[in-house]
Amino acid sequence: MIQQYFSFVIKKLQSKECFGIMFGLAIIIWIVGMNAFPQNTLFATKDILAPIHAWENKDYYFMEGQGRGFLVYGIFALLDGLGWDSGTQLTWYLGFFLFGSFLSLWWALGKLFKKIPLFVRTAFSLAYTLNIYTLSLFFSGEVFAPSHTLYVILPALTASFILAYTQFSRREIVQFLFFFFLASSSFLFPQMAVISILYLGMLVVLCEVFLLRNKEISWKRKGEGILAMGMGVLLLSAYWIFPVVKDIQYGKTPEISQNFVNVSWELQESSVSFLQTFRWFSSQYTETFPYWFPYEDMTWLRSVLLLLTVIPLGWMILGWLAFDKKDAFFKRYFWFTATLLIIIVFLASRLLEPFAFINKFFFSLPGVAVLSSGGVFLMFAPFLGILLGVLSAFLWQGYNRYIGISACLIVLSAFPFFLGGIHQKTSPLWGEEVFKNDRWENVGASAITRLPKEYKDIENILKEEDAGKILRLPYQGGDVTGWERESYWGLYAKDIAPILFSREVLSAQIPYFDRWLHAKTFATSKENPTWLTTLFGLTNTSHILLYKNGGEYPSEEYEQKLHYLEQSKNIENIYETQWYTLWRISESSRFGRVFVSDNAPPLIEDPSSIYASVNKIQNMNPREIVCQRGDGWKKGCSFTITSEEKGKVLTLGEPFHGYWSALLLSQDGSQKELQHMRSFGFLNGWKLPNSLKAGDQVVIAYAPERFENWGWIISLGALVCVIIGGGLISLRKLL
Amino acid sequence: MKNTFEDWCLALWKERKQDVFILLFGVLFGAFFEWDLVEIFIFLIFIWSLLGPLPSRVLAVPALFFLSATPLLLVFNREDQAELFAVYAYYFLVMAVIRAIFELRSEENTKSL
Repeated sequence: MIQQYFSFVIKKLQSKECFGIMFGLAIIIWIVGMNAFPQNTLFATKDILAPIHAWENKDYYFMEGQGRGFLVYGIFALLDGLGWDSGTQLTWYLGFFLFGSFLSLWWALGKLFKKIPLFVRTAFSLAYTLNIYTLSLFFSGEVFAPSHTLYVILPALTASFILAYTQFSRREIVQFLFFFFLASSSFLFPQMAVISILYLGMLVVLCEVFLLRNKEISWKRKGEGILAMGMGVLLLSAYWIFPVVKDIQYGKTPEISQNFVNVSWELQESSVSFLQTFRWFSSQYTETFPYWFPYEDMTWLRSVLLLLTVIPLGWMILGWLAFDKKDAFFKRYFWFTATLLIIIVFLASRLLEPFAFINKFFFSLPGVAVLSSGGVFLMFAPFLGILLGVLSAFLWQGYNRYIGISACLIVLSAFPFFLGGIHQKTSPLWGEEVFKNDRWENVGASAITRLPKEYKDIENILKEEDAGKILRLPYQGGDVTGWERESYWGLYAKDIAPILFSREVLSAQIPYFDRWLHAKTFATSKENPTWLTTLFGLTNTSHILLYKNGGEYPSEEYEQKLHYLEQSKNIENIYETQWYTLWRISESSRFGRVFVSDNAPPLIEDPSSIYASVNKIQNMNPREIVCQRGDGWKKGCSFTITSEEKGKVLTLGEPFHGYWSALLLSQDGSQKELQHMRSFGFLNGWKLPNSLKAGDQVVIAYAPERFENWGWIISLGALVCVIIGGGLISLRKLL
Repeated sequence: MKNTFEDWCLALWKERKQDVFILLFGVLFGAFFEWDLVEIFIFLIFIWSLLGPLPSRVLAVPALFFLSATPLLLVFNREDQAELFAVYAYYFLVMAVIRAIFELRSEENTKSL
């Protein structure tokens, strides 16, 4: 059997298909080599910070979406654990993304069209891999967000689904389920799950409309097949469905639960023009390539590259011109793909008149509002454009070589990939000198940099065992979606502090702190400024990190107040550089992460009364509880009750969130969840009952994993079944 | 020519009064949503492509014209007009797809007979 298997592999290696794959791989390796990231570099843009220290912070990455992003971040963690530096990890991801996209389309074309010429297959697979859309993803850094793994899997997912749905054979169903699981790696963002399911639904409808189905299959087999696919999808999805359900329950995904989402505003902000969607432009980021053309000595090239992007329109025209061709199969496929493209273009273009009213209706439907932000639909345009091109090549068989050449021209539209060093050449923040003089918001895209050494200097201070949270200033308000905005750490990018120092950062969204600027007369009024440090202390904050180049949020205002606190010995300046100042909050102001007090009345958010309110807290003599902290990011802690705690209020110095819970474990073995409440109006609190006994235990947990572990077990179990099933089917076919 | 057009209009009114009302409704519909004249005209073509019916290849002609003109307009830096033409091409593509669905269905029915 082994001999048979090896002879099968050798036969495959000698085949024409293998030559095509090797050719594509050679080009991609060359491009990856040319564009390799220098060692120890970071990639950070407005929303994106490519995973760094992923092994050390695996818990942090795991906590993002309760494990939904782990399929992507887990690989970074593995590479980091193997000792690969951050630059090498980024290079690896570049190769993974490009080669994955190539292989995915290669496989899909072979599956959908058995007799596809090798040249056409290779040219179009390369065109899917290297085009203006993938280039813009790398320029903008979006590619490092797990949502874009869907681009890699999309062709294989589509082909496997069409085959599974039209043939209902076990082999095809198993293949589809496998690719669905891979596609779920993008479901960290719930909209990717919604859009994928919507897309599969569209495929079902269009397969029926365009009669892409096998008539000989009985309804019974069809029913069994649909049931198997549905069950498989559900089981494989358990690991991301459970956390999403919990997110919805706690209102953590307002886009799904439709609270606070201004659909009209979102649509207006993220609309993409029709022409740009047809041309695969990632125009949501108008500051990135090709709008921003970073090669000043080759500006003439910009027009040429832009003109190459109209080629997909040409493929559509060619397919249309082939109306008289008798091949009904390809005609159906052409219309099938064209219809999909129409729907995708419509959904991507959104508010464009005269469809505004339909868009508003569609995006207001329950669950669909999640799609109103971001140009997620644009991701489908390149694949559908490529399919139309391949179908045109089939419909014009005598000319398919020329159509293949047109696909090669699409590859050329990603010309900067071939120039090499795209990030070194285009990132304005590369190199110490530029880093000092340039500002992120004045430049286009692509931002690799090295971490300024000054950040390394405070690493040891901030990694102290008993250190609390870091208060990051200046504050920047969250946007309408509630996302935390980025801060300036030399460049305008997502904050690096939580990951770099493995520390929690005080969020800008919590009440009281975001309004502390109300104290306009802070330094001169009669108010005792210790109220502010008391507030910091309540949240177990131990350090203040003030970024000096705060851009539109100037740091001077804060600096003045912090200096005042420094003079009054409430905080101590422990490190200062040109980028930031680090203060330590006095020990006496800190209450500990967990403490008990007689009561915890809400503070009044009013400049004149907050001082008095905070004074009351100090007079309460809150007592710190030594709470044995669990392992990992944001994990809770546990402690044993003494008689002193009975009837008091237990406070956890974390901003209030429904995810926190406290469980009372009595000595007789019974368990009881304590009632969650707001402590001081903005922290997590629980009333400890009078009935509890000394020696009982309280366990505080964040996002208690009630079902998530089961979700993982179910999904991984289903995946193992899919792999074993697939292996057995392949072996049976081979033998 | 004039007589022929008038005759056609009269014949239409006599034989397909219901369809004429649907077309008029289309005009009112477009006016209600404040569409411009071109958009209303294209919408009427869409209605007529279903009522007429018009074969999908007829609808392809204007779509191909608009699509082919788009790169030329881009070359001459008339991006707004290129976008407008792309939208018009899109409208005709939608109509052609809808007609193609009907045609495929009728082909299938003919085969099964």
